[in-house]
Amino acid sequence: MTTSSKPTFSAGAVFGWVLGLILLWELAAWAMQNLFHVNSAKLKLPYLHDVLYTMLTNIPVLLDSGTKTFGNALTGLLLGSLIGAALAFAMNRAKSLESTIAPYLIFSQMVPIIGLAPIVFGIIHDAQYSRIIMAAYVTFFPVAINTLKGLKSIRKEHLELMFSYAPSRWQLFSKLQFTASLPDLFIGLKLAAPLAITSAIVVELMGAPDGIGVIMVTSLYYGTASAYMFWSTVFTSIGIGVLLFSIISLLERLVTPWQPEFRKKGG
Amino acid sequence: MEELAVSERLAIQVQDASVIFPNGGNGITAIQDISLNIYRNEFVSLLGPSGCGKSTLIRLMSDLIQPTLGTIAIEQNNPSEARLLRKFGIVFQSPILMEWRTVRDNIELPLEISGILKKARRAISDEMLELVGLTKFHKHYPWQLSGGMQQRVAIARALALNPSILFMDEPFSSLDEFTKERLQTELLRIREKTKKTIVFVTHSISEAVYLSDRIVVLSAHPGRIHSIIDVKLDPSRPSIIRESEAFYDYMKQVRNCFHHEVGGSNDDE
Repeated sequence: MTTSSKPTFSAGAVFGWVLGLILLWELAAWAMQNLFHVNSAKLKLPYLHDVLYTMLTNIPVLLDSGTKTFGNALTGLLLGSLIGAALAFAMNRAKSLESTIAPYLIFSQMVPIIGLAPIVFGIIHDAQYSRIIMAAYVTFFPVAINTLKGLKSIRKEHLELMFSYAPSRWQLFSKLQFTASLPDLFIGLKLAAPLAITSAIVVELMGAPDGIGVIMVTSLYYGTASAYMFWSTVFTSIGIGVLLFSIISLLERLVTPWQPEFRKKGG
Repeated sequence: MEELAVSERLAIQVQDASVIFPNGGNGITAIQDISLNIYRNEFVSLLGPSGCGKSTLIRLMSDLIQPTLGTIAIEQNNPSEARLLRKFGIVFQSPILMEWRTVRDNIELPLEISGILKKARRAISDEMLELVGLTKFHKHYPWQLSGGMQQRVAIARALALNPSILFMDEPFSSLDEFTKERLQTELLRIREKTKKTIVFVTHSISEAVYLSDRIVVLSAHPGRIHSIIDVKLDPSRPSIIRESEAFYDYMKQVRNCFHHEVGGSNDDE
């Protein structure tokens, strides 16, 4: 009945798309080496099959580093979303609080991550906490803004209905506001997920002991073999980004099954 | 009943109530000097064109807004106390159900807030489901129901705490004509069974005539009581009554109220 506004992917289309991309990549790499004779072309755009071979032979290292990065980003994402949601509920409760906090929130997002990461790292001197803090830092804003939007779009009649039952502050929150704002909270989380991974990697570039960013930065400085490794880390980063996003999407489906795009057809 | 003092029989008493909404320098008078008594077990409709303040009046009674002047008593309490004592339930124009709750859980919402335990909640919601004829649909979610069924859930929810008064603010106005008539009949049956005092806002003349014991006709700008019409039709209101002579006479009588108004530029229905 209702048409979903979200894009849907068919397996066939995804397969064709991936296949096309692989062929295009291999063609471009071949062209750079054999047609245009670009200097050290293998460093700039290696063959995809070489990269994949490197990935396969380095699975333990990539997996280990990827897990570190993923874990820290996930912890930061959870921390950031807790802070973001709490800020949203606080701002929704008191108009004065909203006008006080909002400018700082926006200002906080003007600070470039690449500039803030070394500062945080320099102060804390702990790679793990720095990664968590940076991931939380980029998460809280989209979560706060979207959750606040969700809270504000609760219909007046819903609030009046609740008012007529004379609920406690907690009941109003738990039986209406919290649940009603969940769909928007998830929009914020999905926006934040890739950012959380990226900011954890940025901290790792500054000199963390482990993580995908460490291999990324070291492989930048050495010859052709490490170019394959560099690309492998890029793929791994994409992989954990997609994984985090998928986990959040799955969670959204489980937690907010009433949303129009998740509704089962019929009874 | 006949032995009771007038104050005992009174469910709602509105005295010299005015509501002026602030609007820059000069306010907008939504309703002016309205006095009205509604008795227990009565079905009273507030009828009038848009802007006559009928919604304002019911919102006053249900503590959703405060009067600028005058007083309102709900069973001898002010509206705020009456709300806390759960003297009334409200049915709004749209069902405003919680999408994440099943039919049963929506009906149990006010019970949960009142701290009624699960077992008792269940018994009450069972009874309410049966009253509105939705027993089979208790596990459904609001979006799986038609508009009419959703409004039945809203009625069941409003009755769950067993209030003595039911406020209904244009509850059927967004339903199609067939569903509307069926729900009107349903409402009278529910009323018969539960003995509630019902205040019903509508802009439909036929709806007011079919449902009400008394119709309070309001005129607009500012909202005032134009006249009050007693409807003395067969109390059991069989559907066929809609085609009777007497029914048309009442409709004409109500319509005439509006023709005497501001040059007859009224769009009823």
